[in-house]
Amino acid sequence: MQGTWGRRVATASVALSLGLTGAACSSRSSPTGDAGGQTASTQFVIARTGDIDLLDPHRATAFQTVQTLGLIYGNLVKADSSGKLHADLATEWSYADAGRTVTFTLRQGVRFHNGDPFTSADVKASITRLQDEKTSAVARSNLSGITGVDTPDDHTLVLHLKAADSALLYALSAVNAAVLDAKDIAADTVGKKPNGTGPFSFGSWQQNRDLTLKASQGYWGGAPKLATVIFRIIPDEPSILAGMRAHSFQMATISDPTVAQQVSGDAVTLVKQPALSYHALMLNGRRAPLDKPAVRQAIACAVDRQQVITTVANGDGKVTGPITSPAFDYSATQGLPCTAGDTAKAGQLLAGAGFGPDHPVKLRAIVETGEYATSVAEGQNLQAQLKAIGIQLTLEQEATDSYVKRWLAADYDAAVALNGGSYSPYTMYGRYFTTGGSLGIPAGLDSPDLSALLNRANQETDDAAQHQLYQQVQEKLLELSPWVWLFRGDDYYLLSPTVHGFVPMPNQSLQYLAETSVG
Amino acid sequence: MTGKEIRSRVGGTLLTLLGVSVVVFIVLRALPGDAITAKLGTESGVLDHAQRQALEHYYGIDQPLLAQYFGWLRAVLSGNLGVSADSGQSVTSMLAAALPVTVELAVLATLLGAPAGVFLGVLAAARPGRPRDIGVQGAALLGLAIPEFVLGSVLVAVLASAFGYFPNAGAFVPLTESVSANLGQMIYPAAVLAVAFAAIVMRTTRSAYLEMARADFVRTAQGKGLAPSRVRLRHVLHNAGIPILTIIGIQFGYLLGGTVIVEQIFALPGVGRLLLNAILNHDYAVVQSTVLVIAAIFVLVNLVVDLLYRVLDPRVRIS
Repeated sequence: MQGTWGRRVATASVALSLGLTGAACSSRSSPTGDAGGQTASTQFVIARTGDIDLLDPHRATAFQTVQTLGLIYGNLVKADSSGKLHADLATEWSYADAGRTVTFTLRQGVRFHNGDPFTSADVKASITRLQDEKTSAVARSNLSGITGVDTPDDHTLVLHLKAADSALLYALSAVNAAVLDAKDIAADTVGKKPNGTGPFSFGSWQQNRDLTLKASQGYWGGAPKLATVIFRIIPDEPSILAGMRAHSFQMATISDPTVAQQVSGDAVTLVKQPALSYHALMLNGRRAPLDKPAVRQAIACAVDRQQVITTVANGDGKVTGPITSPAFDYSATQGLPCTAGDTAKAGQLLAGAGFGPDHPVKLRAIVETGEYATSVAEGQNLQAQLKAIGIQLTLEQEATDSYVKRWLAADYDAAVALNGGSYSPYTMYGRYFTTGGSLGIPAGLDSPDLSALLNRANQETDDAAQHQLYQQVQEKLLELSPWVWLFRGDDYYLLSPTVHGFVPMPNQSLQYLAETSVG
Repeated sequence: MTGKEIRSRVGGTLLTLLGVSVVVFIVLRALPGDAITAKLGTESGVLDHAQRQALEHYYGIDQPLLAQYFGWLRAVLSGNLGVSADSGQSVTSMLAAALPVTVELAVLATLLGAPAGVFLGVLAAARPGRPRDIGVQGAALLGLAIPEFVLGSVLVAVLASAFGYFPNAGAFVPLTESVSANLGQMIYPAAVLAVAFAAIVMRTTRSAYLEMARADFVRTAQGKGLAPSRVRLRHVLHNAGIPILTIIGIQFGYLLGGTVIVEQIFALPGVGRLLLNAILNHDYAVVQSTVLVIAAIFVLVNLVVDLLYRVLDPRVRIS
């Protein structure tokens, strides 16, 4: 009886499993992966691990949010993949009064997705909202130089500045400085239903599931070829790769080099794009013994950057100096008192500062766990490399909240960090290394010379002269070695071979989806 | 159940839920950081004082801790589970979307794992110490030893490589929309969860069965000449039912608490993912209310198990 009963149970279980598996396979979703949805030619499914967190571009900081809202909203200007600025909602702009007045000519015939015409009043209302502290916009500090906004007519906008500010245009090109509909601002509906001037309009959002965008037929640059773009949340990167292999998605973004290394075969094309963000070992120059420039320089000299890339990122990355914008492509090490990885010179510098085998340098480094895949491995590699010159680096692994708390309070000797980059060198470093900069405390260095140099470069309106000044900034940073700049990691894009026209951007923008097609 | 028993049970449940809410509230506030640093990371250092104050007001963390707790508790008692500071959605609607996914996953895993576990347990216990017993025990050990993330990842990779199939390629389809499409998405994660479930149930079944098989009444039944299969099913397995039912209830309750890893691998929008994201974002209302609901369900499941004891064993009813 027991055997019969057991067999019945087993048979029923197997039948259930096989039946359901069969049902699953027979109900295999369309190539676009949407059950019961539209056809493959109209849907473009992008898999990524994280969802957007809000719908208000002015408060956007998470890169998924910035990526997505960047497709819905427009800006006065936008940067291309080389960091060069181009017209967007402003067709041209000119400087007067030694750079203290900027006049924009705005594009005509543009409409928001709800049909409202775009005018200079929308730009003025957007800038006013950004400057309002109640908005809590992170971009507010980048626009603090604006003292007034005039709108002589519907298609002309005049910004009055405290001083010439070359970083301002870059700030205005960011998604978190997008142009909103003045009516939405007045009605306090921003963040409830996105309404922009970008190539795609907002469709729907199911939190932690998917978000749908529709091609904006009235887009001033011409309607995108992709009728519908769906961002699907697949939290696990190996699962994303499996989904790409199963032709379930047309595109995916991943960040883990070990997953990227597994890409093979014809079903998936891997595209690598060096990011603007950079990996660095931040040194707290306000603490002994790092307050001695020679100790910081010794550390900067000792670290073989290429070894870090090879070890922790499977070779995917590019050795970088402080400035990561492709428009300012300087030597990554010129300014250092040595070549990178020169342990002999590093030892000499340490000895000159009074350190050696009998009196070793001991440092505590905070390492953020969980936020990006390579953090701990980077710390371990740096620990091993610095050991070669007698520096004892103790790694203190912290979850993001603890890490941020200690980082903001500069409660560390060293910090293994992945910092965001920008096309504008001033936007990247003004907040760290200018006097009174908002992140001056965690930056760990107060140098009046460097501060003056950064401000001069930002206020310079001549491109060639500015280029030279930023080169001096880079060399000064490497000379002072407040941090050890390591490498720019690669962002990974997985594409179906049928996708054409997509160009990855160093700032992770997906703006080229407007020109992408499938076929 | 008498009226006194019911009152005692309800009172205990309310006290348990109150205790859970206090513990969760304190633990959440004891975590380093807040919703602002969770959201902005190192960029939160860019905010000036006024901006920070505005954000603290927005997230409701500018209030004293007691005011925060009692404000939330008052809302919950009036049927309002609060609003997510992260997304602006009501927690009730978020749970209404996530809970059915997890409940269905738990039910499916139980439907697959419990019968398999009982069957294998009886199979092993019927021939203790024999190759079949050793084999089944070895398989159960393997089922417990292999982490769910390994099993899930391998299953996803094999389905994609060998069959060109990814179970959760499309948007999640609720059971009410399409049974076949829904089960196509749910069967694989449920099967992964069922492996460990079956292993645990198998071990409990085996030991309970062996214990009962040595009881005097079993020997009496055998002595009376009852068929061996009838003895095994009606006398041994039936009387071994309580520990088996207990372990099934406990495992089912744990599954309802969220199956984060499996939900992550199979991209299922269940309670586990909801809770994980809320904890990472310091979304206090979502964490507190979700944990409270999970605790309430756990208590309910225990109550159902207790009631089933009475069905299985008349002595419980009488006592």
